[in-house]
Parts: sequence; C-alpha cells; structure tokens
Amino acid sequence: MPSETSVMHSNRDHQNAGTLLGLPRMKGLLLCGGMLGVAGLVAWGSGFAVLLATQICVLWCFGLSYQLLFGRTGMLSFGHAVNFGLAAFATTHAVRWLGGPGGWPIYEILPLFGALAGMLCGLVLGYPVTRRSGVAFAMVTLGLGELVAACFLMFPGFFGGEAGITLQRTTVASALGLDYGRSANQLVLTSCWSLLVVGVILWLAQTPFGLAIVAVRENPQRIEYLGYRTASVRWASYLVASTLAGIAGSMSALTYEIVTVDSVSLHTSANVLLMTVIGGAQSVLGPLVGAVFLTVMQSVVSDWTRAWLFYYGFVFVIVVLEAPDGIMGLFGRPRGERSTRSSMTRASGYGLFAVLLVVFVETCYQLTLGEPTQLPGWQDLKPPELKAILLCSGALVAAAIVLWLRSREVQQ
Amino acid sequence: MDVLGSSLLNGVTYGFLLFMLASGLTLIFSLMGIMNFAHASLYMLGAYAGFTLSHLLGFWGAVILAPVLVGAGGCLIERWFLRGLHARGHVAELLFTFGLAFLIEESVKLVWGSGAVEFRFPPALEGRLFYAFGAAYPIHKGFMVLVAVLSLLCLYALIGYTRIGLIVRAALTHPKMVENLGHDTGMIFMGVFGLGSALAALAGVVGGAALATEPSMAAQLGTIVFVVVVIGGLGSIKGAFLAAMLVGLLQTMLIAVDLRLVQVLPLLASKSFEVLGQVKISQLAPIVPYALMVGMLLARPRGLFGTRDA
Repeated sequence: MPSETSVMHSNRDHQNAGTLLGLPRMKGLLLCGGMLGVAGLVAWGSGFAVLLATQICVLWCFGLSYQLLFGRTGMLSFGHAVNFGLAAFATTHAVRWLGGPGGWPIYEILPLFGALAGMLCGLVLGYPVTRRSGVAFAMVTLGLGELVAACFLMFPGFFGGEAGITLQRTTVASALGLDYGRSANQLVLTSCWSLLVVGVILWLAQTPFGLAIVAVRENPQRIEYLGYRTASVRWASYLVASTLAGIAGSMSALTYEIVTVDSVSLHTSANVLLMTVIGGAQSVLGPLVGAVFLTVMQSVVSDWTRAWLFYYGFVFVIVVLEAPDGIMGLFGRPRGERSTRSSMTRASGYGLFAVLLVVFVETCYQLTLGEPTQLPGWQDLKPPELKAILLCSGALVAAAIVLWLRSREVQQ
Repeated sequence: MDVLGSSLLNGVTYGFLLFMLASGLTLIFSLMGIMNFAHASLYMLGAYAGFTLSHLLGFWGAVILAPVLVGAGGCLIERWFLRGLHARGHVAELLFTFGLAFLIEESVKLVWGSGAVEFRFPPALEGRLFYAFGAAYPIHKGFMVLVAVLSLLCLYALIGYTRIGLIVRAALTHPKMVENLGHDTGMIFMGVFGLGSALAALAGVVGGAALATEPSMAAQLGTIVFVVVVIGGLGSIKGAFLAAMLVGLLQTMLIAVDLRLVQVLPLLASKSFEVLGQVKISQLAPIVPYALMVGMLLARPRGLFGTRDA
C-alpha cells in the first residue's frame, strides 16, 4: 500500500526537510547541558541518580535506532526488541566467555559485540521482513518478535530460562584502567557510546543513504521508478537500526548485569515504540525526551502510584491524537500557527485536565485496591467521601473529554 | 488415542473461540484497513462487563447486554477517534489502537483489580454434555461452540443475504462508488466496527467464563488473533474460520505430543544439532502459529482465502 505512507507523512515534510533536530539553535545548548549534567552526576550524584542517567542513555540509544527505522524510514516495527535483546544476550555470553583473570582488557569496546550481534540480526532477520512495507511489515515484525520470545524455553542454554543470565562487569579488565564496579564510570562509558550513536545518526542524515530512506518513506513508487530498490533501502535502514539497537542492548546488559527474556519480548518493543513516539520520532532529541519521560515514570512515578502505566498509556494516546510529532514536534512548530495566548490557554487547560484525571484515577485506585494513595490528605478520607469525589471528578473528566472531542470535530 | 481425541475436541473448541474474535477483526481490517490492536482488549472488556452484569442481571442477561454495551463503545471509538485519524494514514490508526489496548488493560486493573475475578458459568451449564475419549466434555464448552456457530451463521446471513450486507460488501471493494450512490460510508464503518466489537465482547463473555477473566487475557489472545486473520486472508470469513481451526488444533495437539524433535527428524541426531534435537515438540506449540504467520506474510501476503495483500 504505497499511498498510505505518502499521506501519513505529508504534513511533516515542510517542518523537518531541512533540519534533523527541529531545533537547530538549541541543539548545542541542550547537548552541552546534558553533558554538564552527566559530569555533575558523576562528581556529586547519588547512586540512584547515576543509575537513572545511565538508563536514560541506554534508552536514548535504543530510541535513536528506532527513530531511524520508524521516524526516518517510516517502518513501524513491533519487534525491534529482538535486535536489542539478542545483542544483550550475546554480550552477556561474551563477557562470561572472555571474563576472568588474564582476559583481554577490552571492557570499553564490549558494545561492539552488541553491534555485531545486532548487525547479524539485521542481516539474517532483516532481509525477509524488509521485503514488505507498511502494515504487512508491522505484522511480520510482530510475529517475528513473538517467535523469538517464544523460543526462550527451547534454548535454556542461551536464554537462561525464566531467570535469565547474569554477568559481572568487573570480570572484564578495562583498557583505561578504570573501575567499572563504580556506577559513575559506567555512566561515563555509556554516555560516550550514546554520543557516538547520536553522531552516527546525525552523520547518516546527511549522506545519500539518509536521504534515500526518507525518500522511500515519502514516495516509494517514485523511488522505485528512479532506479532504487525500495526493499534494499529498507533492508539497509533495518541493518543500521539493528546494529545501533545492538549497541544499546549490550549497554543495557552491562548496566544491569542481568538479561532476561523480557528484553526480547513485545513488552520491550512496545516500550521503545511508545517512548519514541511520545518524545518525537522526527528529531534526534525526541528519543531523549521519551527516554527521560519513560525513566521518570518507571523509576520515580511508579514509587508514587501504581497507576503509572495508565498515565503512561494515556500520554501516548494523547500524543498520537494531538501531537503526531511528539513532544519535540510541539516545539518545532512554525511560529504564528497559534498565538502565544491561545497556546497558554491550551496548556492550562491540559494542566487542569491532568489534575482532574489524577484525582479521579487515584481515588478509583484507593477504592478498588483498598490501598491509600499518595495524594496529600487522601488517606483520611472515608469510602462515602471517596465515592463522592470519584463521581464528581469522573463527571468533570468525562465533560472535559467531550468538550475536547467537540473542539476536534470543529477543527476538522 | 484418548489423548489425541480429547485434544482434538479441545482444539476445535478453542478454534471456535478464536474464530469469534477473528471474524470481527477480519471484517474491520478488510473494510477500514485498520489492524485493530485493541480487538482483544474489547474481548477482555466483554468478559469484565459480563462479570459485572452477571451480578446484576444474571448470566443470560450478561450474555446479551455485554456485547451490546461493548459494541456501542466500539462505535464511539470509531466515531470519535479513528475517523479523525483516517486522514493521517494506517500507521497513525495502528498506533492509536496500540495505545488504546495498553490503556484498556490498565483501566481494567484500575476498576476490577489486577488479579483474576471469579466469573463462572451458571450451574445449568456446568454439567457434562457427553463422555468421550476418557474425559467428560462439559456443557459450557458445547455452549461456546453453539454461540460461535450461531454468530457465524448470523454474520454469514447478514453479510451475504441482506441489503445491509450488500452495501458493506460493496464498500469493501468500491468505497468511493458506494459513497457516490448516496450511502453514508461513515455509518457503515461505524456499524462494522461496532459489530466487530460486539462479536469480540460476546467471545469475551463466553471465553472469560470458560478460561479466566484476568487483565492478561487480552495479551494472551491478542497476537494469536492477528495470526488467524493473516493466515486466513484479509476480509475472508471462511479463511478466518479455517485458520482459527488450524491454529486452535495445532496449539492443543502439539502440547499433547511427548516427543523430542530428534525422534521425529533423525537428521538432527548428529552432534552439531544436539541442542535443536533435544527440543520437545510440546515446546514448539507457542512458536508454530507465529512461524506460520511470518511465513504466510512473506510467501503469500494475501493469506489462504484473501483477495488482496496485507
């Protein structure tokens, strides 16, 4: 179905044809700020903050690979975690094999094993799946992801069964003589590799290859007519994306020192998809925003409420409906499209709605699960009061949704 | 022999459940081009709605009312969300239904808790229908098959022999022409989406009571239903039926086989294939449907009975 892809992206080409970041002036500032943040964390940060930052780097890297595949080439994959997870397993086996006294001091280049494994995945699995595009590609990758995830009980030697396999990163010596038992050093290494991946993505965007994949997304028929083989271009894009995902996978294995079958499953594929779409699949900073969002939700908000997945899904749905280019896409919109005042009104409207929704959801949770929520003062409320709050906030949320749908109808 | 027979029976029963889900999904897919990721979530919503309604109205009321409610919900989803997304292409719709599936699962946990709820058939359906292959076949499984067959016949009659069905079939192949003739294709889309949702919810009420009503039930069936639709061919109810039977039988039959791969394929006896040869055939059961789906999409994207490519 070639026509669908051209329809799908026709609203984007004016914004992002020239710049990859969507924010050319701010990109340097943001990157410098990020690096300063990493340096600050390494110097003074607590162990938890360092771990969060490492996780953000890993997810950014993974998201960047997905962005190349989905955002640039227009291939919606539901099985991208296969490349990530298999590379994580391969790295773990490499560490277990190479580790121990007398091994080579190659810790810093271990992600290359992941890249190699990802590249192999891209070569072997990528070839058949990229013969198709559009919805068929989405379905094939979904099937492939489930296929690989279902294999884990068959090969307990490789996947380690339910428990997964573990490694100890200190068993491989460092070439630079650093102690990677300290999580701060791991953070520095991970952010260096992430920046390398960012560099690769930015460089690729300017090459003929980078232009060809966008062209295949925009108008496959015409590209075919010009003499390219679209399937080969898609395969090349898949190959690069799986290689980069492999780097991310091996960094995740080294960070957590454990890999389970979850890392190849649909769950992980869904996470990278949600994260990239929320952040914005069109810019390099989009996956970073998505990675920060996912990490904050997963590690901070989840301590505060059990409904964090609900909020996560809700944000995703809102982004898909209202902001097709994600959070970064909101910043990249041309000025004058909406006045500052109306966007302020919109923002406060969304804020009010978010507060109402949180009150509704948390009250609902407290009533169904019988566990007090973290909303201040909510612990002392009795069930009748809670029910009254539930009804009121529910009615308001419903009214807000109806109003919002109305305004969408008017816009259309 | 007993094992073979009883897994044959169970496979057919499971196949009928899959078919109820797949028939709605394949209709929606072929008409609107939407791979509805939330279809299995509507199945789950049907089960939970049935659970709540069965407390208020009894089981029989729930069997009738839950599909109606979920079908109406499906209509609203199409009218309010999917219709607006249509102009942005299939990928946006796919993303939306994917997010919706996620959201429905979390909402179900929010309302009914994260564990399984106690949803059972009424005592009238609990007895044994007949005794075969050394095991009793319960009435409720027979009821499941009956519901599936009845809904199949209704659907077949509706699509094949009524005026509404005629318009829907025309909209499948020539949507622009149908619109030009003065039919409201928006209404047709909404109706078909609602009908598919109602069928999924009906499967949910019956399947939820037969298996388990829990928040993971959507994820368990979600991708398998895609497999059925893809193998059967888009838009083909006949194909969906055969594929549902095939997948249902394969899954239940393979689990019952207590052999290792090397015993079936002596080729694998050599040392280098030892890992592969030691794999049990029963372990292949979860893999085979996906392998079939991937193979089918690559070799014959239109499926067994489809008329166009995925």
